[in-house]
Amino acid sequence: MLASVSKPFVTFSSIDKTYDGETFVTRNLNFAIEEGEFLSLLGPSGSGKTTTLMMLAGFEAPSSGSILLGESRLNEAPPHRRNIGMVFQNYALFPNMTVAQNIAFPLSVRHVPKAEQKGLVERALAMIELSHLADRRPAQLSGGQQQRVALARALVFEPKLVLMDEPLGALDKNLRETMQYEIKRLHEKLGVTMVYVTHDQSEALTMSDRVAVFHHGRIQQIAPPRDLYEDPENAFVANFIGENNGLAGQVAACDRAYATLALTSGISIRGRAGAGIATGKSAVLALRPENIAFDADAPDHANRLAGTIDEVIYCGDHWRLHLTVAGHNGFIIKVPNRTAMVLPELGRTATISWGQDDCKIVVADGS
Amino acid sequence: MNGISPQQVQIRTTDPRAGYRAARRREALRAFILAVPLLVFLLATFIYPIGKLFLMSVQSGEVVNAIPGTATLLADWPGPPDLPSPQVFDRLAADLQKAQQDGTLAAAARRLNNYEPGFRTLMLKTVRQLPSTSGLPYSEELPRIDKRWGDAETWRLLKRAATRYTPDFLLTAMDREVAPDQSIVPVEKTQAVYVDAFLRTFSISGAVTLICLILGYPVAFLLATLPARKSNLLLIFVIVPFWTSLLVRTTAWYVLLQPNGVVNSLLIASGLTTEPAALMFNRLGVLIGMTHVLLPFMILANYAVMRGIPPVYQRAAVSLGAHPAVAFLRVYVPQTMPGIGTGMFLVFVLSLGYYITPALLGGAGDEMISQLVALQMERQLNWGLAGALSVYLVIFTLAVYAVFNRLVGIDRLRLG
Repeated sequence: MLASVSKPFVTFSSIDKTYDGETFVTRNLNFAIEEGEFLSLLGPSGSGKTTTLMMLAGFEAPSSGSILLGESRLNEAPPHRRNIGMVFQNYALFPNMTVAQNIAFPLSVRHVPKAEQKGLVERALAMIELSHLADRRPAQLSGGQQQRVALARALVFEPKLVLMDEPLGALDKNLRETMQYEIKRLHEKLGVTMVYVTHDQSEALTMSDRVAVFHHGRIQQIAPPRDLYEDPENAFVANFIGENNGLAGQVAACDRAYATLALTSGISIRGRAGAGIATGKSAVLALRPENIAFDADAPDHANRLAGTIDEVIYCGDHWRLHLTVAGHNGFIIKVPNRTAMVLPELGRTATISWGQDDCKIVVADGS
Repeated sequence: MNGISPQQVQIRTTDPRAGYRAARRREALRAFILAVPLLVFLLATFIYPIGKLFLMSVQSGEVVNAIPGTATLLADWPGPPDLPSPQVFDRLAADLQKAQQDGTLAAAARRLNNYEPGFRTLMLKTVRQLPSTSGLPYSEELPRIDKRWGDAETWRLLKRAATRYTPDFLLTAMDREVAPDQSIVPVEKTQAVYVDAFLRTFSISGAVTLICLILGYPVAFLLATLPARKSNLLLIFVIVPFWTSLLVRTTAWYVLLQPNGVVNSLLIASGLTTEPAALMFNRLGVLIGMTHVLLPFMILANYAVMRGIPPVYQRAAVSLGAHPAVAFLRVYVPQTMPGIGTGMFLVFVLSLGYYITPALLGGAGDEMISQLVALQMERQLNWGLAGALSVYLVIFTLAVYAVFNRLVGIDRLRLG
């Protein structure tokens, strides 16, 4: 989806943000947003993702560094001159205006002629399929409808860049999924660049071209969703995105592609070597629960461990097992549910195995 | 079971709403019983006195009570230009003497004086001289005692006064009277005071309301946007005067604004003026005092509304390309309309009935209508006119209320 020859549209270079000069809300942010891409900023609360968005919108000023839009510096431009559409968490539809007036607002403050406004508003309403509600007040709409109006309002003046601050946070699960699809559809149809803040990793994975994972004010990794999940660069990303069996140990051996991780109990694991892995360093295992074979006779699997089953949870399409492996409890395996399988029993010792390409040895946090 | 007839079963099942209605009735009764003490209190201390005052604005029993016979006879008299029949003269002479013995004459004479200054003297003089009559028929004797009895106009006024119910108070309160030809005409310029007083009351109230809005709105905005700790501290400065007695605050201004008071001393010391400025006993004093007393209503009404407006609207408007000032005017201010409306309504309506502050800080040309009501009740003892003025004040207040309710909605009225 992401064109390989796209030029940087927005560039963050060495952006610091601090309120007291000591603690940094964001630290040394360097990244580029490509034209037309859907970039998600993902992270736990307090990780600096919303602050980053607000600096882009102009509601927060960077303490140092510069934000470029194309070639020109954006830092000093007041927010109302930036021509950036924005959707807020609680929609922020103006309660004193009708739906149509809300959508017309960005046009009327830009002094677009009335007749032209009318046409644009009608088109925007048709786009979100709410033409019949043009004269309602926001309070008379459901959450999903309000969200769509907020979207139309942020898009109607055809900004090059649209920012969204957890726009689906207030919706229930089913509606949220419908809206994810809708936003994605609009993004593809309009070709507009979108920057989307969320703390919901599945939302980030399903919607984005690329995801930037924030933690402690730094970007831990910025990559397409698949790379992020299958090729995490450090322990935080591995643990934050999806589920991970993050056993910790020391790197015993390391060649170019593969490394051997010695767990504290003397057991060692071989896997792909992540960036910054060197012999003697402490590292963490990145191993997805669905990549582990349970009681399988798989001779090509380089890693073979014994574990005690502590807990068995039936999840319909799969079984979820919690084991104690190498002295650590909380090791997770997802076993596909098949009719012919031997049922896992509590307390039994099982053999678990996985290949050297199924796991990755990554640097621990704070590298 | 055999014991239950089909009919009984029917009763239980036909109307499920009956049980619901009974429950609703029980609830309503319970609510009513809880409110009874308050209702009784309101009835006794609020509704009854107001109703009584309203009734007084059309009642005029003093003259009828004093000279009932004459009143009956005068009812048949068609009025000027002819004098009433000699029979009426006789009756009046008898009635007057009886009234003096009964002690009802004074009230009647005072009431008649409302129509024509000097009527009271006429009545008392006539009664005094009646015993020493010369034996002439009263139709000649009375004009001899005072020639006004020979004037049909005197009798017309007596007839107007000698009815149990009269529109005259309500007319007087609007500077109108009934002319000899029965038409309603404005009173003489020198006697017209009430329309001017009403207009003055409205203009003072309007000015106070506007000043309160101009001063109070930014303060309310500040309170609503500051961090909670700071705004709570500032709110104390708004609320403490609000808790302080009106009289205390007005008196404080009385001290401050005097020709040799604190404010004037400061003005002279700073060299801004050489003579003490006239800050009280004029319209300026009234406006300063009333604005100070009523400002908390405006601030609190707006603060209550503004506190509920999240700052995200302002941000959203700016992000959509509106200059912050445009965003404020087009997005924020319209959302504060209920606060503006409530504040203006409260301040205006409270101003309409203001009494102490204009009485203490105002000058000769600043009487508000409630001062005139008090004057009529306390000095002139003309309760009918006081009632009539109150009726108009209530009507105008209700009119303001109706406009407010139409524009803003009374259900949105809230404080704090």
